[in-house]
Amino acid sequence: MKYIKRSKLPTITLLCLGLGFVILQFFTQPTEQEPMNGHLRDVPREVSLILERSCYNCHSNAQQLSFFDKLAPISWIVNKDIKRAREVMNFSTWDKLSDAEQKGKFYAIYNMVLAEKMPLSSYILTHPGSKLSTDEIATIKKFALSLSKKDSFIPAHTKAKAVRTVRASQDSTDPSRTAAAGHLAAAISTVPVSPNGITYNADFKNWKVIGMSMLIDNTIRVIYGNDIAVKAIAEENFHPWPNGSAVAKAVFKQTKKASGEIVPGDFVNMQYMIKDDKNYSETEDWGFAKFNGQELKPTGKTALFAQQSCISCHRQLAESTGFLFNVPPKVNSRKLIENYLKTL
Amino acid sequence: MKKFLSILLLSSLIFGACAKMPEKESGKIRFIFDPGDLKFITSSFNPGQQTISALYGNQQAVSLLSGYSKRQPGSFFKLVTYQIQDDPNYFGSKVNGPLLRIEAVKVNPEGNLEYGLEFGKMPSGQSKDQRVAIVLDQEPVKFPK
Repeated sequence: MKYIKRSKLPTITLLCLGLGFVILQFFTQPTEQEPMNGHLRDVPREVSLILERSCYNCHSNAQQLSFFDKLAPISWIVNKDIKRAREVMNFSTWDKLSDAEQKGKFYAIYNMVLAEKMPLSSYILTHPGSKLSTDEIATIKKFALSLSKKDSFIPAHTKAKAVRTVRASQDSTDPSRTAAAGHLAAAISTVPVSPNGITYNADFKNWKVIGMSMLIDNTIRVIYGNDIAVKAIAEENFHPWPNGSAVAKAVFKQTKKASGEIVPGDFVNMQYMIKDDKNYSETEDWGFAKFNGQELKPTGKTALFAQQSCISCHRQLAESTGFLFNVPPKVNSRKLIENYLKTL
Repeated sequence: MKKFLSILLLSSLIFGACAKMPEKESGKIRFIFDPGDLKFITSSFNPGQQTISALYGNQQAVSLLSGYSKRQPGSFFKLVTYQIQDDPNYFGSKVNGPLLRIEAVKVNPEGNLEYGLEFGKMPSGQSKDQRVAIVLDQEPVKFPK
């Protein structure tokens, strides 16, 4: 160093940085291009225009990246974000989703933009045009709500006892019904297993109920927690949740009684989360599973399903409660509850 | 000096009022009902009162509501009712909010129904008999076999 004049040091440093930057460009890869198979259907033009402007650059196969998005090392971050965004939701393959999934995605979109979690603040910083106005958020809300109007009807509740009697008599006389019942029993005689290895745990029905909820999709839900989760809630010790914490959400269709009361009808699915920081680091240390219908058919084709669907909302919207929705809210008077507990 | 003190006092009042009140916040707690040996039977939402309830019971109570047995002495229920509120984390979802009441119904040795209120108040305009009837009109949730 003593042979280099001090006055030349800044120039040499700049040259080295410049050379390094040029070399980096040889290690950047263009964003993986995928075909645009499906498009949004039955979505008003004003909604699709908002999505195209603010979301498509990451959540579709139609990237319109700016010059600096393609420069390394920024391009590395951009490519990673696009890969993750496409996994969670891709407007270019929208037609692969069922109507129910599309509706659910639109609620997720509205919740994300309402909470200002999307577009990402880092993305808005470099793409200020992607920021959504209050009016645009209201437009998305209006459309999301319109999707639920179609199924605002809640069917009447039927007494199980009457149904059971009819079924019993039919089952005994109709061989096809007997065979179907046999197939169903056989289908769930083995314990269902999610693609990520999580098995259906029927024991959740013996856990404590930590909450109940109703969703706009006309479902009513009961949330159970195992002893570790219940203890963590009681001790406010869920940042992070202790390993082994588990919650199960049983989802039922809503039915309406003659009195107007809404009560659980048919079983829809059981959603399960277990905390395990050894095996699920990609999904904030939570393992996810969902078992659907009377056959408890597991959701997902590969072990990546939770990365592609579940974790997105949990990560962005439930961070304050350790990525878990439906933690009982802090709304009860300490004095009243303590007085009640003293009476037991 | 007087002017300075007045401004200081006013500022303290304004900022003091706007700041979070830890005492008030610490007065609110989460609540998870401990059913003891009772099992969860079902939930129900009352749109008129904007309440959501969880019904618990012992084995005789579950059998009674399932229609497998008649009213047996010792059948015991607890109906836990909460105000419903919007989910602060998710638009379109409603969750159980503050606990409103805990009611107990049991079949005594003579086979008669007894009603008790363990927490809160009965809904206005309803009698004990009506509350008992609401409990006995519930059915257990049905899980896949």
